[in-house]
Amino acid sequence: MTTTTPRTGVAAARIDGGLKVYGEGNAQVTALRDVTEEFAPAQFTAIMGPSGSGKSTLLHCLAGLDDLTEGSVHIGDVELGSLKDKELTQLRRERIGFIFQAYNLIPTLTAQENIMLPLSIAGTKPDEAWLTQVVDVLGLGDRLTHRPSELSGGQQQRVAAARAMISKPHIIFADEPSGNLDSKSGAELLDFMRRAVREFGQTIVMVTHDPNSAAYAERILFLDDGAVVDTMADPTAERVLEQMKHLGE
Amino acid sequence: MLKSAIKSLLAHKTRMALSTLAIVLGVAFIAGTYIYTDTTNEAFGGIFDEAYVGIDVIVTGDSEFSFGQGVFFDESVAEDIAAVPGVDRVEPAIDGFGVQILDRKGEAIGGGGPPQFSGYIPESIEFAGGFELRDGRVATASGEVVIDANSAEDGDYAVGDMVAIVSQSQMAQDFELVGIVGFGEQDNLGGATFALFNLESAQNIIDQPGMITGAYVLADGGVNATALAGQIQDVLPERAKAQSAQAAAEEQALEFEEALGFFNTFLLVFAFIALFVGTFLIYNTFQFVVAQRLRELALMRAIGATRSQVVRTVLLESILIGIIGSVVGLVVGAGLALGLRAGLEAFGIELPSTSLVIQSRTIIVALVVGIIVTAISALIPAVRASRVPPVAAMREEAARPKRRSLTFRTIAGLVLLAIGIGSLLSGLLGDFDNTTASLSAIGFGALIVIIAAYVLSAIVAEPVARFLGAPLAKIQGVPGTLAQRNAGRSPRRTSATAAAIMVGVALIAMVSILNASISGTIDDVLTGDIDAEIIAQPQDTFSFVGFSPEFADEASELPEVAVTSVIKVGAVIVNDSETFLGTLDENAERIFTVDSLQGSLVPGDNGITIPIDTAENNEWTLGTEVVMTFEQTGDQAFTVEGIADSSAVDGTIIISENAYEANFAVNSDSQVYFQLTEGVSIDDGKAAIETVAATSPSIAVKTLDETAEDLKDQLNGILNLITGLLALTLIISLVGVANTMLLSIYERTREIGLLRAVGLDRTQTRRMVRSEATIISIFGAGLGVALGIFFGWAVTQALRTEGFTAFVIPWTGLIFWIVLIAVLGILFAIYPAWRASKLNVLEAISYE
Repeated sequence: MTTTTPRTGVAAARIDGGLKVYGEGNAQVTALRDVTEEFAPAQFTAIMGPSGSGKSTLLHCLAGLDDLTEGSVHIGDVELGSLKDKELTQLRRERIGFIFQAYNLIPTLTAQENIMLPLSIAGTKPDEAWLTQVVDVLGLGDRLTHRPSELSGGQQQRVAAARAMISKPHIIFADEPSGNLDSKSGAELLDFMRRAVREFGQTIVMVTHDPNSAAYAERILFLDDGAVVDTMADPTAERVLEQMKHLGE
Repeated sequence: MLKSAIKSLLAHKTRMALSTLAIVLGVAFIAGTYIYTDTTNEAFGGIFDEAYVGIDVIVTGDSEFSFGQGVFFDESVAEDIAAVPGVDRVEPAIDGFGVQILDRKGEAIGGGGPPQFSGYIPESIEFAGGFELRDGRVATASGEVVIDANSAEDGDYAVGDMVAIVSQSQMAQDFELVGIVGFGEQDNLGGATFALFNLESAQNIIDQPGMITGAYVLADGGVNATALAGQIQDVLPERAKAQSAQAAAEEQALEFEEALGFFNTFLLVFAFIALFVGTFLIYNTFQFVVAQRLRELALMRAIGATRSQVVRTVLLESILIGIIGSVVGLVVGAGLALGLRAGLEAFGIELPSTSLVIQSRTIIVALVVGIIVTAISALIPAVRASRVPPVAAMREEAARPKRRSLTFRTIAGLVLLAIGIGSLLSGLLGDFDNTTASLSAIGFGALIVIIAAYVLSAIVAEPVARFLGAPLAKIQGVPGTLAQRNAGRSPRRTSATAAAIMVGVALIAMVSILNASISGTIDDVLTGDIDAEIIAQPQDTFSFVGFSPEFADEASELPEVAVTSVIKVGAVIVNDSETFLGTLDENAERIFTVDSLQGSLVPGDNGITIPIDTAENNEWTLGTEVVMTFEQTGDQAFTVEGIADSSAVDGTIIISENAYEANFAVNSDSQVYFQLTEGVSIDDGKAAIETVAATSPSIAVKTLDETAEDLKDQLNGILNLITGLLALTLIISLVGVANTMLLSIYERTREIGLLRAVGLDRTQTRRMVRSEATIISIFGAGLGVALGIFFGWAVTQALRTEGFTAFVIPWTGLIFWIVLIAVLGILFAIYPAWRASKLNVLEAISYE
């Protein structure tokens, strides 16, 4: 298998002094408090935290789906705050991949069309070898002409993963990608994501609340009440669980 | 329950707004039509009352003819009336029509639109039927004329000027203008023009010396008008009647109302077509709203609501929309009526001013129609809502509507299609006693065919969307591909939206085809069946106004003219129905082709020649005696002397010129055909004949080609009018496209969010929505054209016996409509497209 060269020097994504406040007056909620973090290239990072800890908000802000109240986000060397919608859209299309928890696919498009979507939208030609490789790794070869409704949940998420990979993005953001899957399908998907990082040098940031899922990552950020409270390198499920208990106190 | 219905409405304001708009437009059209005609009726009713103030008994002709010339009787009748005890005074009346006042350029004032009347203006002007002198005096001597104020203004005439007047039987003559009259406060009556004379001139201008058309009677003090009318009736000749002034005013108002009733019905037909189209839109909205609320409705069922309660909840919501739409529609309708009146006034058609008449009938019809239409449209969605299992409240899959099979739909569609076509064909080709029965069979059949086309269109919606969207997918890439797939995704909604467009386009296409086919037939007849170079006919061929026979006499003397053949036209009652007959002269055979003939083409003075179809339909043969009723002379017996298949007897019975003169009061020519002398160019011949016609602007001298062109122009006018009236239907169906796109966007919010997340930009999002609208619009327009071609074919086939020789499909025009609808579809999708592109990506992704 070929490996893409891990990007060095610049972080794949970076957030500086990130503050996110929702609502006004009494209803004001601070989702992120002064978060500063870097995501190194070719690294698999998991973001964990209890409900309402701000982990999804962090992901959305990093991915340019939501904007910060204060602070800045960089994808590579591009600062997101200064981008217009059109530029932001183009950035998402070319440099970011997404895997959501569910409803990842366009029901009217076949699996292959879904995978190719970011490229088709941009009007660029796919790298056939890359496509074959991704499809191969994900075991989707015989499923390409099927519509999402004809695929199992695991297959659907793998198609979503393939779509996230196809444009060789700078970084992939995954929001509870295995959240709706049974444990076997979930493990397959996460295993693939880990291979993508190790073999292809892909950068992935994943939000999850499941310690077993988080254990697939190389590094974990623990969020609580909008702030990064801890990090953990080379995690195992047990250590994560322990840490989570700790957070819960 | 009412509260929850109102709440639900408020929650879906934007979704409901377009449905309400459809009702508003349709109801406004209906209400506007009623209000306008009621107001006009009341205004004219007032005039008829006013016209007879101070008069007790009115004597008029008694005619059942719609296209007659009026009844004339000897002026001695006035003396007979004067001799009746109780009569104080009698003033004769001599009314004529088709009497034109010429302006200084020699053109008729008022053109060929509103009627042009002549009459006698007595010295006591209260006997002139409501006229009031504005300037000058009444006409007392021959050679003097009084005209209405509006004509005076249009012609820039003042008292003392010389004014040329032309009638159906007299060439133009100059009269001295001695007075100008108004009609109460009005300068004119709905655009009609009036030329008023002393008795002798009034008789002569319409070639009826010594004749009158009626009389105004003043009774002695204390004499009952109705009783006096009875006594006067006894001294009247046949075909004349006496009525109290009040009864006459009422009768005339009623006749006017009936005439206006036709106009009313004509407009209402289009209003109902528009509402019918609106039902598709409302149906789509409620299908959607119900689908969105299935879990909520399931919860209602789970906590004990019955099915019928669920149905009622949904129906109640639709009724509320119906009420809101109807009330707003009523107000807009009143505005339309005002606008229509202002528009007509701007064109110089002044109506007596009264405030708008809004009868309770108008309000009831508007409300009932608006409410029923919405309730019916929501019925199927409501019943569907009631079928949701209570468990759906807990389990999401159960709430999701199953993709229902289209098998039942296919069968139902085909059955409907068979019924519709059967009814249509039976109406077109079958043996019906009267036209109303056959027309209702045709109308019913057409309606069922339209519904069948809608039902079946859902089955083909997906493949058609794929086919129509293919070029878009090719050109636009992802937005086009998504539009292509989305258009085929809810075949029911797509087909309901397309079917709404289909209805309007089908009717327009049908009328276009009929128009083209009639034009083709005109060409066939004029080029193939008539051997003449020049035709003279009235300027306005639809007004049944002829011109003086002097013209043909003079023109036939021209050295440029070799053969002259005259046709006169008049109304007659045969077999209880009013129809037209014509005359032919000895030159007819040299002008018209005769394909087959038994007996003679030009009958003797007691004979008729009939078209071969008339002979077959009535089982008449040579020698059959036919009794025809004439307006002036009553029942007269004629013998069939000829049965012809010829362009000379196209659809009409032929009598001799002598018989015409004997039975018709006014002797005028309707068409004169000229063959030019050999060696004379068409231009020279036309110029020579035009010099003879110069003093009579009512005569149009045209070459064969010009005649054909003018006829086609007139047909195009009708086509444009009908198309204009169908514009509302098209607009509602296009609002339907906007509605469908909005519904689809709500439904696919999460999908759009995902597309935006993975890189679809706003421009592409808008393009996706607009392209889907384009596909649906073209689908509808294409269905409409196909259906219109079928309807057009059916009608031309049915009218084959009436002389339709051509079936022409005006492809350019039909393609223009498809393109236009596609473009309009894009325009109407601009707002939904904008909405889609402005969706917040993050919110859209997490939209439930």
